[in-house]
Amino acid sequence: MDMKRRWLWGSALLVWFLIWLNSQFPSDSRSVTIYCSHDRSHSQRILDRFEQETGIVVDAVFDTEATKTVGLTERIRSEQVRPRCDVHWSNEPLRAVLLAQDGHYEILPEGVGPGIDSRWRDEAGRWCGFAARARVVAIHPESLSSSEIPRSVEALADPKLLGKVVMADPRFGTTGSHLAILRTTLGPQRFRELLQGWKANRMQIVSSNSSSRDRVLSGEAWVGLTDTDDVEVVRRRGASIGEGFLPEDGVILLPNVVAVVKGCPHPEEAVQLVRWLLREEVEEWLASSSSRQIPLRNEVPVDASGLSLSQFEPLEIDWSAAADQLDDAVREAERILLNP
Amino acid sequence: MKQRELALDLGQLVVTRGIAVIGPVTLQLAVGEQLALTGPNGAGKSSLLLAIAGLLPIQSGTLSIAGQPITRGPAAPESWQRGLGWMGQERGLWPHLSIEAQCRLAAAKDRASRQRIGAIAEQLAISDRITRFPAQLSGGEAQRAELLRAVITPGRLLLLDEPFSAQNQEGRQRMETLLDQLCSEGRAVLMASHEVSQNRASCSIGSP
Amino acid sequence: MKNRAVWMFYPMLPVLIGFYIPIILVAIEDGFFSSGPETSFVAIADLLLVLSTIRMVAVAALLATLVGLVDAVLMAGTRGPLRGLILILLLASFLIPPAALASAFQACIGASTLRATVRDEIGAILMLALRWAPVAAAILLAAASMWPLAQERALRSLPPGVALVTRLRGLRPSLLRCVGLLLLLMLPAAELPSYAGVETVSQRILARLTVGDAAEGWRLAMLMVTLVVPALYLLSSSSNDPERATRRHPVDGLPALRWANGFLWLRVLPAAALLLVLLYTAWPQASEIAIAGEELIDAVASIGLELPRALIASTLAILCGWRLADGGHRIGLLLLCLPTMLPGSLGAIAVARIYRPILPLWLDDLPFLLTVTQMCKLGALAAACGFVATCVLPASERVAAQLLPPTRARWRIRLPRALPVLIPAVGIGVALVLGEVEATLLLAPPGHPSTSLELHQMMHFRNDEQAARLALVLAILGATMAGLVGRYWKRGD
Repeated sequence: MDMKRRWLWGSALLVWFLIWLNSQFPSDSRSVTIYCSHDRSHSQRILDRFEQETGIVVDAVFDTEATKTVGLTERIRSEQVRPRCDVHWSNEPLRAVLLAQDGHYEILPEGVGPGIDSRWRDEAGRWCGFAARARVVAIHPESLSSSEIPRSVEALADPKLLGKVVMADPRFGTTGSHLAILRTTLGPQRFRELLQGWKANRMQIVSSNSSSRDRVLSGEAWVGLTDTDDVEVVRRRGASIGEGFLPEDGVILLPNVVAVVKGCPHPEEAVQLVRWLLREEVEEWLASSSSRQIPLRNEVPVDASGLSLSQFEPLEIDWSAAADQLDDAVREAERILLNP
Repeated sequence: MKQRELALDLGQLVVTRGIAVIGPVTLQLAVGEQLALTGPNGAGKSSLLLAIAGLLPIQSGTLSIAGQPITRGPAAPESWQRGLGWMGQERGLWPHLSIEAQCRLAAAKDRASRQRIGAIAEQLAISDRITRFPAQLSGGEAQRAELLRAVITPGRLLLLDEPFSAQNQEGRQRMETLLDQLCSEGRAVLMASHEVSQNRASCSIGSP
Repeated sequence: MKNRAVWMFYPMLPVLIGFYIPIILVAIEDGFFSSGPETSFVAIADLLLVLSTIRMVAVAALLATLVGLVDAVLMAGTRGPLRGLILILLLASFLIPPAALASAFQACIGASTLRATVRDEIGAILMLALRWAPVAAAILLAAASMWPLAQERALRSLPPGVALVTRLRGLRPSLLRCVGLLLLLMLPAAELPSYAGVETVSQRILARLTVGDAAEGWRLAMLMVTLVVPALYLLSSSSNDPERATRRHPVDGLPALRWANGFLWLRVLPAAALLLVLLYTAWPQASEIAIAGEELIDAVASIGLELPRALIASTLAILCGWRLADGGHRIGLLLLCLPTMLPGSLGAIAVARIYRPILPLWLDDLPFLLTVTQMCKLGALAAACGFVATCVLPASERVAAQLLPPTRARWRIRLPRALPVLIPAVGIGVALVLGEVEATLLLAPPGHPSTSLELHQMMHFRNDEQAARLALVLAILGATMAGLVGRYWKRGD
């Protein structure tokens, strides 16, 4: 390599290195950090609007449901002594409840989330729910008629569905929350019997809710336990897929939850962001997006294709009691459904 | 009568290589002397050189280099601490460095080395080759270049394993002349060789 | 002796700081040593899972080695410029994140044909074996390069069939070691088995952590380590073989095999198909071209900004591995390997909990802890390539270098001679760091770009086209790395 070319390469590398070094240091502008486990494509747009309106820079860390990792909830725990996160936006409530119980959240100021009913809030005011998803069964329409759609979780143990029911790994995400809620409502004995019934009916276990839906799409399974947003995403792409809300159990709605992390570096901006996220418009945007969230305020307008709270009879859930059941529910599911 | 200054002193030295046992060997080599180890294939000539250089374990006996007894076990000085110049049977030139760069590495901090490298390279008829890399040399040239690297080290004892194996008559003569000169300057040479030129000291090792 | 211990210590620093110290402190804090009455019962129940994971991974490692053996032998019989392309395609199945391929398949075929055909344990074994076969091929090619030149040249004088069988038989002693190394590298696998619905011990550990039962997670991790350490120790034996090669040689010692090219093209067909699927998925519709262009630029920029850090992490990790192997520190190599065996989240959580509270604020804003943790995850790669790099140095050169002072011999002779192995390893390390998710999710400072996380998020939310575009950029990067591998391999010869 001649000298001139060596200089050229050297300078290019130096410039690259300097750009990289500069990118490693944060800017001085007002900012807020959010840990968000909601669908990035929707939440990013909402956070961008917040940034435009307030001028506060949002540093977002998004979650992934890959089973090879633990999620942002564990990150918040591991950062307890020196939090980095200001606002936690969780897409399911139980793990947030556990964080609140362990003292990771500040008490929210009075008046945040006006119009949201107290059953979607923490009694101590440490978190507030908004825009929920419903637990549903995805249905393969060519295999099951509308009259054959299961109406309760116990119907999934029906021998007619032998080997044709699929569920995501019960230890992660909303499936874990679903089981914890079932253990709370059914009681430990009936819960174990339910799992044994599922096991006897050769329930398939896959890595995530989206995989559960995909097995229904391909016809390998006729019924798949999943969330409303997972079904809606493929519907909007033209897929033919049905859904059922398991009305005999009471429809399980899992709201998004926001909270301010205790000892966070930007408390003022955090509260500002939480107030902003709990506005009606945000629920409206989420309801009209492909994640088809269900607004927790009846006055929020919903499209014809969307879902509103008045359509269901949601199950009354004691969030703290359900969160306390999470560990046992996961262990029992693991022992009965997953052990080799 | 002036006492002989010993460059190497082996007393009942026994060396093991795998299941083979070489020795006991007793040998003294004074400064200014050359000695060729001869013997049939597999007699242990190379193994003995490797053991002196600290590259094979010694089972028993004593070993002194330049009057310094070499202890056995973990406290034994490393090869580079023994004051040796080494040339192995296989080509051991480092392919990523030019001959000159290799010689400078071997010469350590000797400031006069550049001139010295040039002078010895001249004697070995490779002065126009020292800026080249090993892959750019012929077999005979590479062997002479390796001798150049061995003799440029500050060590007083030179251990050479089959140093003439790739040489024609002229090449061999040049190398022998150089070794004679080095011995007259206070070095000592122990080499393993199949054949020994006339008028040169040799001793046989292993079964006849 | 004291000096030797000190020299062993400094390449161990990253792994001590980034893994052992925080792991031990956190395990104590989480009550690992305070065993309750049900502990032994739990351990016995989980032992079955550990054993079933080992069984699955062992079969996959064996299969990967057999496929890799065929690849490695046939690669030695191919000639011409297309050899590089075959090598790149072979490596592609390892370098493209599996999530991206799964995503592209779903987007392209609609329903998950991939998942419908590979199911349960057999599916997991097949996926693991095909993903790791190129690594097996690379290990066996490296093993072949230790053959003496004269023997390799003699091979060329044999008829192709006989030469092929001779090379196969010659590689037999390396096969078991290759199986063992792959087994260790695959043990923490959770992602691919999860696609096939198979439970592994890594998933179980993570599940324990997510429900806040860290102590049991630690116990499971300990159980796995206890089973693996003896195997690892045995693997690292015979690192100093005095009868090894006297001269390195090109790894294409076989006479040209006329049918080798054809066979290898068939072999790389699945990888080529995967790339085509990726390309098809990534190709934007007319209305999306502007957005796709922006996404592509964003992806390239974010990889560009991540690359220097990945390069630093990979280079330092590989140098540590080489230094330990060069010094013959078996225990050090063993300690270096262990973090690879455990899920990355374990180490990352421990690092965050122990160091972040005491880290100066300015350093906390930099991805310092992330880099150290990712370096630890590269331990097995670093140890393996360090081992290979020291083995391929011809005995005659090594002996000649021993006559020089150690520092000079190490940095001027042995390190430059090891570069043909170390540089490709750094390339593979960079690809692994860029694809790393576990530590990134837990330790990356807010605002830090992360291609791997983005990819997983896109996957999760079914943004398949975007995921495919990002994966394609990663694939091109992987190809560049593979190109470097080929180039430096040749240069080293």
